Amino acid sequence: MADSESSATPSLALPPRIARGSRSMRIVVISMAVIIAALPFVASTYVLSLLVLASIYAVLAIGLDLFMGQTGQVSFGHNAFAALGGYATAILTTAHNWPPLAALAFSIVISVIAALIVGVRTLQLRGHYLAMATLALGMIAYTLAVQLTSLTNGFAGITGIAPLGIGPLELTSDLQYYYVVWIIVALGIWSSFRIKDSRVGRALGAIAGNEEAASALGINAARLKLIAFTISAAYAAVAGALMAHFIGFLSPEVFGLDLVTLLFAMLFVGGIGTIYGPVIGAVLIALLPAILGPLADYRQLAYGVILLAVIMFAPSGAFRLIADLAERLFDRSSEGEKHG
Amino acid sequence: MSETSRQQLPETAAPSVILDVRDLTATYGRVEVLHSVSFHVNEGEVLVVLGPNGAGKSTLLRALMAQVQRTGSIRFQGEPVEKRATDQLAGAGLIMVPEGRGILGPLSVRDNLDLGSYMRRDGRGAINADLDNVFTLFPRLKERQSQRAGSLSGGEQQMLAIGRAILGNPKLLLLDEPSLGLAPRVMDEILQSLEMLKNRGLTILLVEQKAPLALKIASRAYVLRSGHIAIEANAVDLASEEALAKLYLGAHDHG
Repeated sequence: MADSESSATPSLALPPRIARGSRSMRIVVISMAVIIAALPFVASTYVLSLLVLASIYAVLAIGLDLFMGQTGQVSFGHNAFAALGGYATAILTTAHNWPPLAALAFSIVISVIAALIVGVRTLQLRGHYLAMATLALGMIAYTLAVQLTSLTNGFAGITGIAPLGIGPLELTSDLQYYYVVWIIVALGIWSSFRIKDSRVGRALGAIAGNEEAASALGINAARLKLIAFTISAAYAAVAGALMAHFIGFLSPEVFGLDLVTLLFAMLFVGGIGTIYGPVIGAVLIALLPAILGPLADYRQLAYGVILLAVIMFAPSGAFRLIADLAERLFDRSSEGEKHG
Repeated sequence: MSETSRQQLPETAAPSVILDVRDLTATYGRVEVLHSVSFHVNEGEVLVVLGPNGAGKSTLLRALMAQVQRTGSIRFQGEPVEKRATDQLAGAGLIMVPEGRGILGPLSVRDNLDLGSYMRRDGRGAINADLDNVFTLFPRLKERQSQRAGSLSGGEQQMLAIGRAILGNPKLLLLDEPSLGLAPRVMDEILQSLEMLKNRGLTILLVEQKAPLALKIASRAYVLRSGHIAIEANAVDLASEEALAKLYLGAHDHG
């Protein structure tokens, strides 16, 4: 795989460990990068803004996939960490005039701390109980965003959030946001693969497969789940901060329960646990309003139908479909060791 | 313990006890499954715990590994360990091949093996030496290193589970029903490898329903019935057919 980093696409400079194994996988990843890099040349301004949103969602989805896919846990509450990161960024850059990068760093730190505090207790729960606890977490965050009006300005929200930038260099157009955030997505993908291929990543996989067997191998499941939860909260915080800068406005609805539904749709439509899948899912789901056109009012219905269809007919998601197709097209000669 | 008849074996005249369990009681919710079980494992022996389905054999191992609620005292290598968590017990060298083997199907054979050495701190050299040993013991695992573990046959998966446990550098290996779902010929192969491990000095606690198989390599045996230890005996004494018949028909002593 060492040659994939020479791919000529600026927005997804893929490090060697990402695209793994077969030729077909390499082709899929490079094609995805090329498509992402080329899309702005054909997309309308409306579609381009949706694609920026898709990239922000993708950051969140990659992070959640680390916790749900790689570690096999469940969280209905990652909107809380996105909200925390988003509001921290919004408040610090507006009321306190912090530079965006400092605010971003703070957003990450505070979300990580919150994840550690919350995770220590909740991650002892399993299955449905963990789902309920994390759902409550998201609801608490939402309520706080509504009620702490002195900080968050309640439903009226925070307006006039400066664009993302370093010093005088600010992102002023959707096109600039597009490439910057997709580079962040590429970094997110790369980090996620680094984690997956590490000792910790193998242990997370073991916990996903069989938590008891994993502990019997000496894996401290409680600690590792907390690590995965915390890292995924950091991804969520980054996404929240990006959201605040990109929209320039933040209200509690941005991080409501709808976001959780969207995220789940992205994870499952794209393919949970595949790292690339949730990114594809984010693009597909974010583009849905454009695809539906005049029927956009029915998009909640469409999310539901698509989610059902995927779970029933392609439960391993879009990425696996693409990967299998590519395998048949490009790996015919080799005897085809399946991935994942 | 009142029903247990103690018997000193010639070959373990002055054995040192690696695991000493007293009054181990295990409960699932409010249901008590193990009732005040006491037993010990001697250094270097293969101890078999026999018993029919539902006798509490798996629970016994799970209780030792802190995977079910339990009370009682457990000494491992002289140290009280009943307060330790599962991963800490594994770190101390008490390593279990769980019921159903706990193979991680989507991961490769090699990844599964690497997970076995997850908690070791004694360096790559020692781990690689153990990996070589595992590959010598089970050459098929070496051939299939990069294959998905889920694509292995049942016997190969059992080999993988044992190999993975060996990579954890166990002082005491706990095996939960390795014969489950295996053809007799495959099981013979597994038993041979266990015997080799025993000859290298590994202590093994083997839980098994199929007594004739397990007794081939055991030095001592306990029979567990309805959560009690019903019999403790020299493995040779149990190997006769009447003894086994008694065991499964519900006799309470071995005469």
